[in-house]
Amino acid sequence: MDGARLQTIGLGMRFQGLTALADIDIDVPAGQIRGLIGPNGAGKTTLFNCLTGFYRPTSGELRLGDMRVDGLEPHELSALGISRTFQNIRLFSNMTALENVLVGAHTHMGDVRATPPAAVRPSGNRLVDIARALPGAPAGAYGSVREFVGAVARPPVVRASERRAVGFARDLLRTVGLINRENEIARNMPYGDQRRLEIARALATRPRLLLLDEPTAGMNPQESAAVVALIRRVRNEFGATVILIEHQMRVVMGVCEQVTVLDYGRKIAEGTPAEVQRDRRVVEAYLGTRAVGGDSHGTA
Amino acid sequence: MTPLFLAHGSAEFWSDQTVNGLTTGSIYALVALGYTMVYGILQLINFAHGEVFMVGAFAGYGVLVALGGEDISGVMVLVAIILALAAAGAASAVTAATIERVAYRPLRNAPRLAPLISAIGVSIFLSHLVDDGFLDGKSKFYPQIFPTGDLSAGPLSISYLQLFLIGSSLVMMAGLYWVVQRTRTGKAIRAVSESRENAALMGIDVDRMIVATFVLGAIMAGFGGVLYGLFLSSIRGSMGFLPGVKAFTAAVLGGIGSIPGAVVGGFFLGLTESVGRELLNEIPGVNLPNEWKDVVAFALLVVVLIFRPTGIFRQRETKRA
Amino acid sequence: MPERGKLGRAAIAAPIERLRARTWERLPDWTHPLIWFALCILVLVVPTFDDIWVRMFFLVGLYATLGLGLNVVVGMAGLLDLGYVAFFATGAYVVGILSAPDSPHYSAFFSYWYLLPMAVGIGALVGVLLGLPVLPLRGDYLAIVTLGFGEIIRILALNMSDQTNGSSGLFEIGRPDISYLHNLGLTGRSTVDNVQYFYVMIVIAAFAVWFVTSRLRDSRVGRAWEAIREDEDAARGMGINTTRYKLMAFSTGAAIGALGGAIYAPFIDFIAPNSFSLLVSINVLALVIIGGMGSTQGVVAGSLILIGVPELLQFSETADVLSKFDWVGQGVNQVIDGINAVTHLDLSTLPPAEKWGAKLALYRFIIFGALLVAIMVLRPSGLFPSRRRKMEFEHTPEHETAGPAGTA
Repeated sequence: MDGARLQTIGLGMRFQGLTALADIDIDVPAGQIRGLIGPNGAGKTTLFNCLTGFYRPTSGELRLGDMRVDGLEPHELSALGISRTFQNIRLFSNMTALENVLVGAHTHMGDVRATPPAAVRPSGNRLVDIARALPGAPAGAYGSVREFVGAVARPPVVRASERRAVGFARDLLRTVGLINRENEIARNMPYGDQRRLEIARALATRPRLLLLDEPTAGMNPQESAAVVALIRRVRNEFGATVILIEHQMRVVMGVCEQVTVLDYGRKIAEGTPAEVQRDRRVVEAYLGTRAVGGDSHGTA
Repeated sequence: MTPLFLAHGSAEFWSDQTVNGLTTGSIYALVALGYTMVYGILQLINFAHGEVFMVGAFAGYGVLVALGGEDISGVMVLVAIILALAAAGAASAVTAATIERVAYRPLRNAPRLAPLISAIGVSIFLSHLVDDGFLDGKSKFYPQIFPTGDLSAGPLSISYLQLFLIGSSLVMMAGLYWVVQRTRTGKAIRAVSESRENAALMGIDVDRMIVATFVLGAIMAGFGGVLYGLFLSSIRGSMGFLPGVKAFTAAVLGGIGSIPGAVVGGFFLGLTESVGRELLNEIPGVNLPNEWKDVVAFALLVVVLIFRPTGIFRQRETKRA
Repeated sequence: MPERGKLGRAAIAAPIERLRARTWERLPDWTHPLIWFALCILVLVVPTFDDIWVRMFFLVGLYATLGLGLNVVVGMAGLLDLGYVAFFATGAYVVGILSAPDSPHYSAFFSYWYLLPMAVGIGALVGVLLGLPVLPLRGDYLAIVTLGFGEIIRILALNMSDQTNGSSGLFEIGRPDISYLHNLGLTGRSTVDNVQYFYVMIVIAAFAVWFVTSRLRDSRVGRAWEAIREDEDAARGMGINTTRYKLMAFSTGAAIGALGGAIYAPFIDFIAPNSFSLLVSINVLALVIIGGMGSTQGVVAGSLILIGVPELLQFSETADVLSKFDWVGQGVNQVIDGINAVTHLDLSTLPPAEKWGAKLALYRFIIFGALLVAIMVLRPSGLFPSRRRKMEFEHTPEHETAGPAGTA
C-alpha cells in the first residue's frame, strides 16, 4: 500500500442554487498529512463527500494518482483506495468491533474481487449508463453466484480467506489498541474507542488516501494526543496519504505538514501550519469580520 | 382526433378515454395528496391512508342512506352530497388523527421499519374490521342519486357525474393549496417539513403540525372516498388498498413531497391507465384490455423509478438516492 | 430542546431495549438444547398424528420456510419486501403450468424433480429482474413496488388465461415421484401424495433453507448484508457494492419463496390466482416480525403462532374443548342480558362456546392487525429477537438529512 496523490481541479458543488463548494484546487502529494480547516459551514465535510463519491461534484475534476475519478460510486472509490471516517461516527452499531473491521476488509477478501478494476465514470445519461453496464452483467452475475455458493459450501479457499481477514482485522485492532474489545458491540463502546474503531475500519480497506473527519472531536487532550500518534503511525506504517478535518489547532500543528483553509466553500489559504496561522484572511475567517452564520453543524 | 389515432376507435372513443382518465385521475390525486404531505413531513409511507379513504367512503354512504338513499331528489341531491362530503372529511380526519396518535407517534424515534409495519397493521385492522366485523364480506352500494345525462359538444361528451367529480376535486385541491400556502397552519406545516428541529426552535408545536398534516391529507382522502363511491357505487372494507397503492404511485410520479406534483401525478396516472394504455394498443401486436390497467400503472412506476427517481416533473437532485 | 428530549428518551429506552432483547438468552443456557430437543421430537412424531394435525404442521413448516427466506431480505439485509407472495406464486405456477394435465403447456417430459430446481431458478431470476430497477433506490420505494408487484402477479395469473387457465386455475398438479426410493424399499409409496409425505418433504426443505441461510449469515455476504442494514452509506464507503448485495439478498429470498410455492402446489393440488393474495405476504412478513427478526427460533415460533393457532381454532376438537366452557359464555350472556334489560341497549350476546374458535378464526385478521400495531409499539424487537440483531432498517432520519441536500 502506497499513498496516492490527490488532485482536485476547479471542483465545485452546488445544491439547488446554493453553492457549497466553488473552484477548489487542491493538490496533496502522495504520503502527505494534510490538514483541512475552516469555520463551521465552510464546506469541509461537503468536500469529503465529493472525494468519496457520496456527492457527485457538479463541476471540476477529481484525480487520484493518474486516474480521473469524479463521478464514481463510493464503493468504487473505496476499491480504488479512498477511505474515510465520519464526523458523527457511523459504525455498524449492532455489530462487534471485529465484524466492523471485517466489513472494512470486504473488498480484499474472498476469491472474487468486489469491484472490477476498470470503474467507468457515468456519462450523465441513464440509458447510456445502463447500456454500458450490460456487457458486464453476466460476469457480475457469475461472481455473485460464485460468492453465494462459496458462502454456503465454504470450500477451503473461502475458509482460508476468512481466516486471513480475521487475522488482518485483529492486527488492525491491535494497532488502534482495541484488541481486547474485539467482541464488544460497537454501540456499547466508549466514545473514544468508537472513533478509533472507525479508523481501524477505514484502514481495513487498505486505503491509499485516508480521509479523517474530525478524528479527535470530543476527546480530552490525552486521547487527542494518542490519536495524533496513531495518525502519524498510520502514515509511516501504511504509507497512506492522509487528509484530516480538524478544529483543534494543537492537533493541526502537531501532525499536519500542510494545511488548506476553506471558508464559504472557497479555498482561502494554503501552506504550512505556521504560515496559515499568520495569514490575515484565515484569522478574519475564524475571528469573524463577518457575522458567523447560524448553522452550527450539519454542512460543516 | 387526428389521423394518427384512426387505427382503432373514433374521436369519441379517445375523448371518452380522456374523460375516464381524468375522472379516475382526480380520485388518485385527492388520495395522493395525503401520501405526499405525510411523506414530506415524516418521510413515512402512511400505509393506512387507503383505509382512511375507505372510512370516508363509508361515512358518506351512511349520510346518504340516512337522508333517504335512492329517494333523494331535486335540490336535496346537492345538499345530501355536500353533507356526505363533510361527514366523510370529518370521519377520515378523526381516523387519521387517531392512527397518528396510536400507531405512529410512539414510534417517531424508532427504527424506520417500525412505523411502516405499524401502518400495515392499522391498514389490515381497519379493512378487516369493516369487511369481516361489520359487513360479513359483503359490499355496500352507494345510492345512485346523481342526475344522469351527458354534456356533449362534437365528439366530446362527459356525464354530469364525471364533470362534477373532476370539477369538485379541482376545487378541493385548490382549497388545500390555499390552506398550505396562505394560512398560518399551512406555513407552519411547511416549516416542519423543512426541518423539524428548526421549526421547534421557532416555537412551532411540531406534534400539532404533524397531526394537522394527517388531518388535511385525510380530509382530501375522505372527499375522494365519497367521489369514488358516487362513481363506482360498490364499496367494501378492502376498497382502499388498490387506490391507495395507485395514489402512492401517483405521488412518486409527481415527486414525493410535492403537493402540485401529487395532483399532476394523479391525473397523469389516470390518463396513463386509459389513454396511455389505449395508445399502447395502437402498437401492432399489443393488446392490453382494461383489466391490465394496474399492470400498466406499475410498469410506469418502475420505468419512472429507473430513469427519474425523483419523479417525472421534478429536477433531478445531485445527491444520490 | 427536542435534542434533549430525544437524548433523554434514548437514555431511558436503551436499557429497557436491552432487557427485552434477551428473552431467549435469559432462559438458562441448559434449557436451549432441551427446547431444541423437544422441537425435534415434535417434528419426528407429527406424522403419527391425525391427518388434519399433520396438515397443520405442514403449513407451519411451509410458512417457516417462507419466513426463513423472507428473513434474509428483511431481517438480514433490512429490505422491506411486501410482495413476497409474488415469488411463492412464481414457484407454484412454474410447477403448475408445466405439470397440470389441463394446462396449455403441459409436458410429460418434466418430472417434478426437474421442475423444483427450475422453479427455484426462475424465482431467483424474477427477484433479480424486479429488484434491479428498485434496489438502488431508498427502501420505501422497494416497499411500495413489491407491494404492487405482489398484486400484479395475481392480476397476471388471472388475465394471462392462455398460460394459467385464468380464474379456473390448474388442477392435478404433478406430484413428486419417489419410485426410486420406493424400489430401494425406503418408502412405502412411489409418489409423494399424502400429507405425511408432504410433511416430510417440507421438513427437509425447511432444514435445507435453514442451513443455507445460516451459512450465508456467517459469511462475508452476511456481513455485507448486515452492514447495509445498519448503515447503508457507511457500507458503501467501505467498498460494498450495496446494489449488488441487496440484489443477492432479494433474489435469495425470492428463490426460497419459489421453493415454498413449488412444494405447496402439488400439496394443495389446485392453484388459482386467488390463492396468492396479499395476505400471504402479510402473513409471512408478520411471522418474521412477530417472531423477532433475524432469528430462526423466532421464525419457528412466529409460524406456530400465526399459522398454527388459526388452523387449530377451526378443528372440531377445538370446538369440543371449547364447548366445555359453555358455562363461561352463558354467564357472560346473563350479564349482557342484564345490561340490555336495564339500559334498553341491544348488545349482542356471545355465540355458543363451540363456535368461538371459528369466530376467532374469522376475526383473526382484525386481531392480527391490532397485534401488529401493539407489538411494534410495545415491543419493537419482536418476541424472540436474535442475539443483538435489533429489528432495523438503520437509515435513521439524522443520516438522511445530513448535508445541505437534506433541506429539500
